[in-house]
Amino acid sequence: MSLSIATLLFTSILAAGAAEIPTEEPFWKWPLEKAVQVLNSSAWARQETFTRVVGGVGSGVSGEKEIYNTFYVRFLSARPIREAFVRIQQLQHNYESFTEEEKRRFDGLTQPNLEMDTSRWVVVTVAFRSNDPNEESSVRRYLQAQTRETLKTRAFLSTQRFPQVEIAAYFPPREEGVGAKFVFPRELGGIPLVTGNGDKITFELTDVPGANPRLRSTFSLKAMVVNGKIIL
Amino acid sequence: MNIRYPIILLLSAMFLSPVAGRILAAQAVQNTEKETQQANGRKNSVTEPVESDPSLASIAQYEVRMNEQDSGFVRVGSQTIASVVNPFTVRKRGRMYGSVYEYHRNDNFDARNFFDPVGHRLPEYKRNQFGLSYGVFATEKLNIFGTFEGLRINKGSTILSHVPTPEQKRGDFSATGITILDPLTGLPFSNNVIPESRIHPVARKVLVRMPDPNQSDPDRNFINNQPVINNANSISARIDYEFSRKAKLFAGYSIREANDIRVNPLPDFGSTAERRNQSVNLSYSYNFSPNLITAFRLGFGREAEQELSSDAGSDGLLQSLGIAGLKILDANDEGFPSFDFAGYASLAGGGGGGGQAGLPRTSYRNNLEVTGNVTWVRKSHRFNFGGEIEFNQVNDQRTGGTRRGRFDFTGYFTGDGFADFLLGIPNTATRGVGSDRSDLRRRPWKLYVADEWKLNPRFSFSASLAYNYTPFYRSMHDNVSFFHPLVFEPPVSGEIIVTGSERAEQLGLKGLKKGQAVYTDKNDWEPRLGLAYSPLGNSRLVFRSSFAITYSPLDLRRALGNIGLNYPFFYIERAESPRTSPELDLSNPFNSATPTELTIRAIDPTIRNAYVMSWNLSQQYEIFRNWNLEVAYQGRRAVRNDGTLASNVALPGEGTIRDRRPNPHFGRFDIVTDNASASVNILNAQLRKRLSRSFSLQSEFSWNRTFTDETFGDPNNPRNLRAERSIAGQAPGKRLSLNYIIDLPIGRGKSLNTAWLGRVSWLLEGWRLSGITTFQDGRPFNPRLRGDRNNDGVSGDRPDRIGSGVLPAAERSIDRWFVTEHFLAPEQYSYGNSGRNILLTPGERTWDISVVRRARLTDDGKALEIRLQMFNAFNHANLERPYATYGTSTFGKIFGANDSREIEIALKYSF
Repeated sequence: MSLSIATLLFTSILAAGAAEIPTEEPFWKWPLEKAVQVLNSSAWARQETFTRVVGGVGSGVSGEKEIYNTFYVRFLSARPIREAFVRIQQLQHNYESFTEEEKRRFDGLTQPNLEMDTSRWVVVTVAFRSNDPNEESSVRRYLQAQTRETLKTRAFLSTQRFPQVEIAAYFPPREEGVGAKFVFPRELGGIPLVTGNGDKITFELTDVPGANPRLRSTFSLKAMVVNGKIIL
Repeated sequence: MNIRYPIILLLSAMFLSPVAGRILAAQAVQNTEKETQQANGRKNSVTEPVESDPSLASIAQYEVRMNEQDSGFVRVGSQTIASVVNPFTVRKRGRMYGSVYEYHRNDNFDARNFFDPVGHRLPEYKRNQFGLSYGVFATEKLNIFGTFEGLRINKGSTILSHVPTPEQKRGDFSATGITILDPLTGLPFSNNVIPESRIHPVARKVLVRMPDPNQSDPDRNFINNQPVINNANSISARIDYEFSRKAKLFAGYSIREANDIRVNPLPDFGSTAERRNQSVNLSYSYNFSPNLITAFRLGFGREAEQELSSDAGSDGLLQSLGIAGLKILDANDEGFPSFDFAGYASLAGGGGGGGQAGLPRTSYRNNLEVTGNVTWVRKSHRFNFGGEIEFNQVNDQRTGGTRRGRFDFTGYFTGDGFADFLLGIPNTATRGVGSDRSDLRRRPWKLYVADEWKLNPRFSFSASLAYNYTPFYRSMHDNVSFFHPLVFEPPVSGEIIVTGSERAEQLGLKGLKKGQAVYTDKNDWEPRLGLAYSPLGNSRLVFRSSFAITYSPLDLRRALGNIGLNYPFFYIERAESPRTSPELDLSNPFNSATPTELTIRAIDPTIRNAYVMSWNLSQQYEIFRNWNLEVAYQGRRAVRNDGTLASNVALPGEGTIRDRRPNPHFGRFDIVTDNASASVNILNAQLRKRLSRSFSLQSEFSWNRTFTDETFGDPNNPRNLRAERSIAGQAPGKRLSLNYIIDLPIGRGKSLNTAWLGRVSWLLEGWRLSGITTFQDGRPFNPRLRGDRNNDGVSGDRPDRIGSGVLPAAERSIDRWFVTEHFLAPEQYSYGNSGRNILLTPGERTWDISVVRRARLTDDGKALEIRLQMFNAFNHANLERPYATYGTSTFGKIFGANDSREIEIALKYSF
């Protein structure tokens, strides 16, 4: 491959823009693409994908040669994430075609999730997918086996003011879909975890089995500001 | 169905019938409210905070279901949404997933190997790798997954060698330029032709199997394109089952069967190999409480292996050659003896690389492993303790093959090794006598305790201590013997004793039981200390340092080479002719005027496990978002490494070696001792970019400087092993590897949007480029002398060196890789001064590139993948190691190259 072609290729890739964040439009009007974007690539959600290429005779598992291990990290405590989940449910069940009575019932059931009380907690969810079944099984077993105690020295939230905030509660992933839930206090000693001073918040999870033992996901707090207030 | 999932129940009920659905839904809401209240009021088993905090309970129960089977709504592509948004939603009951694939290569796609003759069709090559995987979430708690993979390789070789011409086989050396002396007279043969009547009858029978040259190059005059065949089938199955939130089980089984046909530089002297490996694994974990977690594992593995000469089963073959004194155990032992001619391709030599020497090799190994681990978390400490025990068995192990004999023709008598062979006058003759079967047992165990202590957000400290009990393998039979006293230069008097016998006890080998060769090293305590410092209070920048002491037990190879392979159970006899006059005759080489020597294999019974100190310092830094840099230094110092000491070795000199040995009643002693050491220094830098903007990269540079005096062959001077200390030959010095994936951002909705192309856009979407690129230095090697010039009975003689031997890169070629003139034959009966591992083989450059197109076929995840892979994409000739035997016509020349470019096409269907 010539240098010029490689340069053009890399430049093209790096030129790809980041996703925009929907904030103005009410969530029940979001199209599917927008809801997915909020859940996967927004101010409150990131995908951290670790890759490797396997080589050699007989390499790979079930024919896979490029292994993709993706962690989906989301702030469930942030209302836009919950709104996106609800919107997905609405779209999935063709909410727009419901009768008013059905809509009322549907809203009644989704509302508790939407209005989940996170006044005291910041909730991070982590889901995982790999195209290598062995890696997926291994990480799933790891997340299932953890408790708050075992994660006290492995899972942290960090801000400029508070490095390594200790986990307060942990809920392993169920078969449903949100992933493992890591719960952190919103205040420490009466001081808010997040203030306008810091500009970043980082979620860290270490000692994960497999080829990528360290998950570190950094979010911009500025991007989380909606109507002058940090939504977290 | 779990009634805590209100939306699911409601929607399911709605799907059943409008009326029934509404009734059920109303009940569900009521039940759910009750459940929630109960959950909030009772002790929750997941984590303690839930007990007292309703908001945590609501977080715990936050669930999103998008499961059309449960909901009954299939109005949109729900599975597509689910898989895009939430990976875990695909885990629904009854969901099946898997793939079917085929990877194909053949010679029509491939480039020519550097040494393949131009104008000829490439050697045949067919390679098919195919398989399927299948998984199902049988229930929400049970996941079953299985795979099958088949591999069929039929690959023509490109093995170049030097074989005698038809004229030489008739005794006519007139065209060679080598003057052939008649050993009876010491004068040249008339016309440089050995009379037909003088050609030995054994040689006549062997000549039938020797090929004629098929190439015009006088040095590389024979090419063997016979196919290497590798066939393998692998099956694996795995079950994950969750009994409860606290108890989980994993079970797995795998089997792999492989059948290979290997080739030798000469056709019809190849070998076959059959292997069957099976393993069963069970692991069970149970959480007694959130801070007390246990895990148990049971693993059983069985490896059956059989390597045979391609002539195995040919009853009477060896006997038909007419060499007296050779006796095989059974038909699996059949085959040709090993004939080594200096300067020519060996006949049936080169065991392991396709030759027959050292075959048959059989082995049936069983390994049962039980491990248990407890994790206990208390405050900022995380304690781990546990243990493991193994039960190792090796059955019907055979490593022989020397029963068929080995004969070296060095050319001492006529001036040419092949001419010596024609006359049937070997320089040395070696044979194995007896049964080399071993049945071994070992039961190692280990206990450990570890603590990870997080002092504060910046400092973490870890410490562990393990105790390893690793006994040496023990023979099931009473067949382990020693030469006593075992010292490096055996005294004139000594005797061979069987361990565990009364005589052994009398001579001081107390406590060494029958079948036991080595006292168990009971002092293997392994401490480890580690420190991590995060100056920023998070893992963006982390410094780590650790120090550990570990022990490396003697490996199975050492056990196999020393248990049951000594007189009187199995022994190797060697006869050597004086160089001045041939005294061995190929018809009856072990019963000639020259007495045979008994070679002793031995292991120091007090040998201890190798002691390894290792330390490292590393720095991890997230230099930009998604970009991580890690720089590490690793040091290692290993002492008491095992090495083989050649003992009872004659000093260089004239005359028969046997008469000059310290103990002339025996031959050479090969004693395994712990006299070797190694020091390792590695600088390692890794730059990684996680996948973002469709691009990911893993790059690694390492610079390895390893020095050792471990030798894997004979030393130059067995009495000066310090001179063997050199840079290690195994690892390349500098190595750079790049591993990258580029998901090309082309298509609808991508950075390079092709929506405007309409349906044609489909062709441009979903392309991926990936690859592995490796650049690495060559590996160290050194020239050797042909035969045993100093006549000490040890063959690792090195030449004298009068210059560096290194050629400027621009002047290197396959005919002259190093300055051959910088090496000279040393004075006769003296040691050469050339060092070990002073030259480098050619380096390697490899580009493996894949272009992949993945096309989604349906919204529920079915996809088709088409792949084009190029291995060694730019067809760089990665040359093999040069021939390094001084005094031969091939000295400094290269005869082979690694694989040329191969192209693979693949098709894969995923569901």
